Amino acid sequence: MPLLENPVFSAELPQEPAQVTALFAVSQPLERDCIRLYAHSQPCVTAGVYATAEALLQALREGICPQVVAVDVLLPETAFQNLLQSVQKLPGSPSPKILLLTPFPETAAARGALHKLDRYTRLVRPYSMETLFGTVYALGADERSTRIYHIQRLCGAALQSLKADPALTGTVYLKRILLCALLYEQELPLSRLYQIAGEERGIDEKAVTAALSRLSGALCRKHTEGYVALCRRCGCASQTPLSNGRLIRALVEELRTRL
Amino acid sequence: MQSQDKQDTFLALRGGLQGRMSLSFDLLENTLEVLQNRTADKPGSQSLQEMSELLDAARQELQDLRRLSRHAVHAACLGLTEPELYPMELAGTLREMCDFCSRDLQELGSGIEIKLTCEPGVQILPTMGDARLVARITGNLLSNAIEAGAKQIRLHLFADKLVYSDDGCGMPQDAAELLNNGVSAARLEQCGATGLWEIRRCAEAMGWRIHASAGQNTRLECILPPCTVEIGSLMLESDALYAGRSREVLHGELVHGLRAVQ
Repeated sequence: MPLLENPVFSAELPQEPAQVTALFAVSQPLERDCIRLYAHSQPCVTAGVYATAEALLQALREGICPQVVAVDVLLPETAFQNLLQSVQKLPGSPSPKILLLTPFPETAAARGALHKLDRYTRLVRPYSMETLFGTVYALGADERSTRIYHIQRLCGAALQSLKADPALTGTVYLKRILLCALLYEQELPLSRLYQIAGEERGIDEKAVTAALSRLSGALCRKHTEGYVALCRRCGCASQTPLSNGRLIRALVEELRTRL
Repeated sequence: MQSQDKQDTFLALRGGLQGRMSLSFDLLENTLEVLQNRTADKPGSQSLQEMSELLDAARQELQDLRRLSRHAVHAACLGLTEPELYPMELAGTLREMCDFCSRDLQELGSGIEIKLTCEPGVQILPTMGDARLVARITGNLLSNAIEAGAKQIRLHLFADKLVYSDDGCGMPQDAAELLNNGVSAARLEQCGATGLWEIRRCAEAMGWRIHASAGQNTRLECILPPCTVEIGSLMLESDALYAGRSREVLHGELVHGLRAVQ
């Protein structure tokens, strides 16, 4: 699939997606710890985590204005109801969006119970932290920011699975390139993608090209299953590093299937 | 939603025993996901400290899961095999368990007091039983007491019965009904309350009859079966082989009770 057709000169590196503030009221201590620790790796989400509905309400009274309030339905029932009512009556608009975190309904009675809560957005267990934060972000941010956030996470996960060293500049450039390639509907020429990748720090195309080549060599040496699959997609042997163009094209094709 | 309706809704969502076990497994999966996520970013010392705390919390969750699985397996195997009782000395066994639990609670930072006393002339009480079943009964009584906010727990041994009491918030009627008659209420099913069933199953297996009183200050009598074992001809089986597992059971119950209070 050629990347050199119909050059798009107006394309540029998108701004960082909007910040979303989310407050979580969660009954299980282990889940609270997981949310807190996972939030460190999510620069677009500011998370406040509370053990009780009262503590979350107090935070709201103190002036925190979240876009999303995520509530565990296993909190004590009265506190849960009070919290939902209080959130919906908060002054100012818009009110935070409410996300209910619910266990999987193991019985018919539980399924009926879940149905009674269907006026709220619900996330049903089992869910990964990635899914939880993705859902929170999608609720709190606009569509474009959500799309950028989603693509950034996909790219991050893909490069992690290839064991790309986050400290290498090639990894940073590749993430930017993949973000642009996936965000813009029109295909961007490789040279334009290199320009965009280096624009922020005034790095020229040659330096970006060289960094990407070094990265490709490193990925080849790591020889992960993901890398072998990319080579197969290009019809190349996995023992020699992919060219920059092939690496980018294969990754874009792979990630488009997951969008 | 009407008030009773709301209560039923939230109770139903708990999902009973299956719900409790699923939640524990889900949380452990989340923990592994988060730890993997953090290690990929070459964590600094602050992150390492947080990861270490997360691992500690996960270890506690695993202990709770082990406890639930024990109850679940016991319930699943009920009726498949006959309990294997052997001559044991109940007073000494209970004394060791209470001493162990007192020390363990101290080490866990709790000030709860456990005291075993015996009627005059009942310093030794031979019976046909199983120390592992006694450990499960004792452990579950203690963890329920801790959850109920008890500060003082008393066991008193008579020649024909064991009387348990504590100063916690007391036993609900449906809990007493389950212990006395084996009849469970929807509330207990949906909470996934396994400890009470465990007490009843273990007591029945040894021929003990339970009489539990509902209301403030829990009081429970376990009527022991008549002992046909002659002390003179008694070959008491040593519990040394089983002591490790009994202690693991007791420790797991105490930790569960303390976690529930936190």
